[in-house]
Amino acid sequence: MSKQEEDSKLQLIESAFECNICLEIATEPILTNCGHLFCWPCIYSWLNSNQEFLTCPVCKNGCSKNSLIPLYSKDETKTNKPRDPNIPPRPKPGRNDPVRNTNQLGQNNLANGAMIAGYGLFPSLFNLICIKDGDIEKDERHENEATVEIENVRKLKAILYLLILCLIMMIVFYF
Amino acid sequence: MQKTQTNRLNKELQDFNERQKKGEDSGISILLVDQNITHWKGFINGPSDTPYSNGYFQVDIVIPQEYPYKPPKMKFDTRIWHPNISSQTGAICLDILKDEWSPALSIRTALLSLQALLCDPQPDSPQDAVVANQYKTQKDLFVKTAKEWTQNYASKNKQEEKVQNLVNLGFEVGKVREALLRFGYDEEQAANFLLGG
Repeated sequence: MSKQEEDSKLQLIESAFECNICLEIATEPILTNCGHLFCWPCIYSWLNSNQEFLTCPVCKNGCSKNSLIPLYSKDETKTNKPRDPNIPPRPKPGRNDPVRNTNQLGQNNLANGAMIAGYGLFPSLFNLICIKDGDIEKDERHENEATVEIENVRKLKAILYLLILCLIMMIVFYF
Repeated sequence: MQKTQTNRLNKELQDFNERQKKGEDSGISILLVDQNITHWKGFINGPSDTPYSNGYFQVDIVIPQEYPYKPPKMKFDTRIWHPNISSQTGAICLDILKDEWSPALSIRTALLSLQALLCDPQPDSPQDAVVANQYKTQKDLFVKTAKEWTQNYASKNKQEEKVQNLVNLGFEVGKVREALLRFGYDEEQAANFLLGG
């Protein structure tokens, strides 16, 4: 590749990562939820300027500080430059719990209702009890799949409790 | 002025020049006033098929300290007969220069919007009520007046004539052009400036 081609290629790559406000390569890069790239200090200044509605500067989609997604590169700490003390730190992304893979073939695949008898009946039943409702409920992105799963777990749990109750009653009456 | 603002303005200027070289953006150009990065002059060729065709309109552009978070201050130096531009002061009524400004816009896109405004007047959000009223009720008269104003204030020939007039009074050509540019080809103001300076 000639020097000129290399330069133009580099320029193309650079312009793809330019902040839409300062027109430089984005520092502390951050995305709006409509997918537009900015420097954190630049978008912070825009969202803090005096205006009636907060919108993305590029597409006018509604935009707030809470909906921004930071972009982390591999060597994040090395790229930290001295920053304006008036700008707060870049927001951290929201965290999700691991998402249960409903396509996975295996013993924990509750959505299919399949239980594998390899460990006997009781361990798998106790497995069910050990699942806390919250684990699945928090996962918003797969809300529909998760609710089905929760329903199944709840039904099974109810049946299990009934069975145990009957067992205890039987033992009590037997004596 | 902040360093980031100077950087951005230099980038815009560079972008503008590159596009001019490639021949994009026909009909708009810019100049810095006194090499000051926060004071520009924009030039818009009147779009053909409008009363402004063959006109060469000068726009004063002042960059506020909060730029790009606040819009650039723009007004027409060249007098123009248009519903959204004051015939007296050159003040412009255009949403993106007010509430609809966004830092993703630039001087270049604002000038392109002005060019579009010349093609497509919006008499329902007027800056000059007299002109807007005439546009709505007596379109023929409006077109005639707008053409006359373009002829009188914005035509290249007329502008050259004014340069010649002032040169004949004994001023230096370069200074005359500078003064006329500064006052949007108002001969009297330019003459006063030349006498004073």
